[in-house]
Amino acid sequence: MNKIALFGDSTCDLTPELRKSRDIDYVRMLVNWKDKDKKDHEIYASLDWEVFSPKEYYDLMRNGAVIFTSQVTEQEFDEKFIPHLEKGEDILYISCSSALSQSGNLAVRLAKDKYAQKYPKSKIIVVDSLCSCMGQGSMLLRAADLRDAGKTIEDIAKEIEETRLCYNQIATVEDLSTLAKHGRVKAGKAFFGNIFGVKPLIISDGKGNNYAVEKAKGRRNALVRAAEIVKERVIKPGTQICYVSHADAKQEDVDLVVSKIKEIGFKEVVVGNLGPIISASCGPATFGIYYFGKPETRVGE
Amino acid sequence: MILHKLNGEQFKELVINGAKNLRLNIEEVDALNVFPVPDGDTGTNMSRTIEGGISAVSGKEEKNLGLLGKDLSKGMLMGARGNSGVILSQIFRGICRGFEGKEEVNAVELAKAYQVGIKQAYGAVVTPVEGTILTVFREATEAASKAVNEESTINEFYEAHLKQASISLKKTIDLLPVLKEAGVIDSGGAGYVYIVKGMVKFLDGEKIEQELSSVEEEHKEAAPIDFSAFGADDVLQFGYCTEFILRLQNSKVNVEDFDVQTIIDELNEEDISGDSIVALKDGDVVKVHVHTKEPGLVLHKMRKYGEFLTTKIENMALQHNENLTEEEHTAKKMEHKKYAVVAVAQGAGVEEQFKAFGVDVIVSGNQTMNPSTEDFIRAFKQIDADNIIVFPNNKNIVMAAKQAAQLYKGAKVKIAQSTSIPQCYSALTMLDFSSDDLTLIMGNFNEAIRNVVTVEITTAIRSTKVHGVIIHKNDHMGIVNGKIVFSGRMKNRIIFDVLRKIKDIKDKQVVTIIYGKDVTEEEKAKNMEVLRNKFPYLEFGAIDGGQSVYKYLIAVE
Repeated sequence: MNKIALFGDSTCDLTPELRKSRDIDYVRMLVNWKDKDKKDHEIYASLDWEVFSPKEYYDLMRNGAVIFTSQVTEQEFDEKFIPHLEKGEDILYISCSSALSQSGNLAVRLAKDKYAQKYPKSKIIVVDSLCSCMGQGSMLLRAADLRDAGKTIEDIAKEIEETRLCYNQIATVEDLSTLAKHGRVKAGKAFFGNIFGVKPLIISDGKGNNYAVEKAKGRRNALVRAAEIVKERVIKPGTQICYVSHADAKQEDVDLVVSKIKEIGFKEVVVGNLGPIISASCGPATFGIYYFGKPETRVGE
Repeated sequence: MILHKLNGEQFKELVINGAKNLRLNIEEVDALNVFPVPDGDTGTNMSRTIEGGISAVSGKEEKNLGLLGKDLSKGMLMGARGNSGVILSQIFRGICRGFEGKEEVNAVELAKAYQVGIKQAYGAVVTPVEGTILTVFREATEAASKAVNEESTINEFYEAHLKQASISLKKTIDLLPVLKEAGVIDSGGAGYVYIVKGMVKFLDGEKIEQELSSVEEEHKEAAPIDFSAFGADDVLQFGYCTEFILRLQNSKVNVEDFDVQTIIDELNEEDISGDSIVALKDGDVVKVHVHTKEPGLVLHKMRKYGEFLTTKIENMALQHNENLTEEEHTAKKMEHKKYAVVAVAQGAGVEEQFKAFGVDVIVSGNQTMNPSTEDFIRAFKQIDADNIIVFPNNKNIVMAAKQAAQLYKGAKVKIAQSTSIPQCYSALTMLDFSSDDLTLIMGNFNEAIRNVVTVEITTAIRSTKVHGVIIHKNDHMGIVNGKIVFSGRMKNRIIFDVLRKIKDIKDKQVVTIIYGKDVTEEEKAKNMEVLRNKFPYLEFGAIDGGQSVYKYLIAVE
């Protein structure tokens, strides 16, 4: 059995430490924006935060930069995948939701049209996470567990695919202006109404779209409601880690969310940064909470 | 004139004289307002209500008291505005029920009919409050009932009624603490006493000279019909506005148990394809309004339930002498919805914002002219929806909205618990029909509404003391959830001065300020500066509402 190389991408939000200790790598997407002098900038959407610290990156948005994102390039796939293929390894890539990024689809195409001929002994399997951030990250951690337990690449892919809708997300943004600019969240007609004071509660739906299922009035109400939703949907909290990711939210808000989430009885609550791709379309101070729960089968309009 | 019996024609004259006397004193009744705010409208509302009844019987020479009463009470029901107006319409509805089947009544029978009025009026109010028109009417009726016997005249009944009504009115000030503090008597009760005075004056031979405003005039300005609008080559597009009044016949149906829904269902069938259907049953009379291309079929089919009292068929392509027509044309074009929203609003900015939120029809809620039951029904008729949700946005409009909801059969109508514009504003920002569960939707609206603290800031028009707050004329006065909490002069920090009076302001998150039409840019900016400075944790937003009377309407959530 070939060694299995595990890949995520820029939306999986795994820290350098976690990636190193669990032997998980990632392919990078890109972010670009115009500065005040209309000059274009483009950098890799790095989870190592070597160009900007998370705070600097979110402040860039706070100061008015509209950040656009682009999918993983063919060149990036070549650079990251080929060394493993050369060594005769298999590759399991758990990609950002296909509803949000075409990176996974590009990988499927490259595997079939390019890598398969050259490396016929290696298997490349792409699993569409239908999710992002620590939802996708948690799937990668689970895949690492299975790999380390000696499961085949097919078995790992099968389990992730069968359980991916259980990797739940509940997210909320501080103000709707970034969402409005990017149009990345689905919502029923007139859902947002006047955007003032209204906070959407956003799931990753059955097709991997970000979908505003509810709204709350006021930030605190939204955060409390998000925790309530976790409580309603979680399965066996005592056996799992809940990931709370945010894009430089106020400390008092983080404390509120963490205290509410802790009341649910998770084995552990881990607070981290919301990655550069998703935060670009949700805006600073966005919260995302990730946990294993009931399968999310709702689909946005 | 001494009357031993009262017939329909005489009762009509009594009511007309009563209405005229009320109109003569309308300003005095309007001014009986606890708050020093120029929005007192009880007199106007009651006048319009009773005049709605009079319009319905004007030109009719109906000697039969029972029959006269039916039209009179229905007219009042439709014309009812404001809570006092709605209660007045229910009082008369009860009295007229007591007249049912009677050609004329003697004093004892009259007293019995008035007692039905007590039952009807108290039954129409969810929580009857003593010290209002209800008390005045009840005590007056009880006293007059005791005062008369089989030998008594109609005059004696009304004189006893008036005597006790005047006494009870004076006592309202002691029954309601808020009246006592402000030193005013109840305005609805006062309006009622003027009506009874007018009735007694008629019996004393004094006919009051006073013009009444006619509902007919208001809604049916006679304009010549332009027949050229439908030419020889035109194709019937809108169909016929078909209206008729049907007397159900015992030989054809069980009149008592007959469900008007039967007619609605039949008009909805494909061969008639009725639209904008309104059908009301009152006793053995059914009044129907329907748009159809097949009016002949309608008339033919309806005869299996009864016989027509009147019919009216108009080609809707023509401009008829009714304001309704234009709206009905729009109604034709309004797309079918599962849920539609009707909201009462005042101020161009507020109306625009409400529409942007998804309100289908705005009912104009002018500060001194509350919408009538009929105004609501007219709004409902414009909509093609399974469910209509109404935001009355004023305590004094809730009852008229409820009355309209009960009368309207074209859709399921639910009344949201909003009694202020800010509450409605907040509920609308949370508008979400995606659950498709009416109970849940209403629950969410009402929860949003309950979560709102309504703040109103206006200028005092007189010096007084209310809720323990001393108010000087021209003060800026802050009202929180209907209670005056602050009165002061500093216009550039007035919002802060009022908001700090809210006990749990620390637990609030979002404040939406709706600017009235008389607020200057400077006041807006200065107030906002103070607020952001003093309440850094609150999220502030503002819109130009353009409303009159209230400089600021504020939703605190």
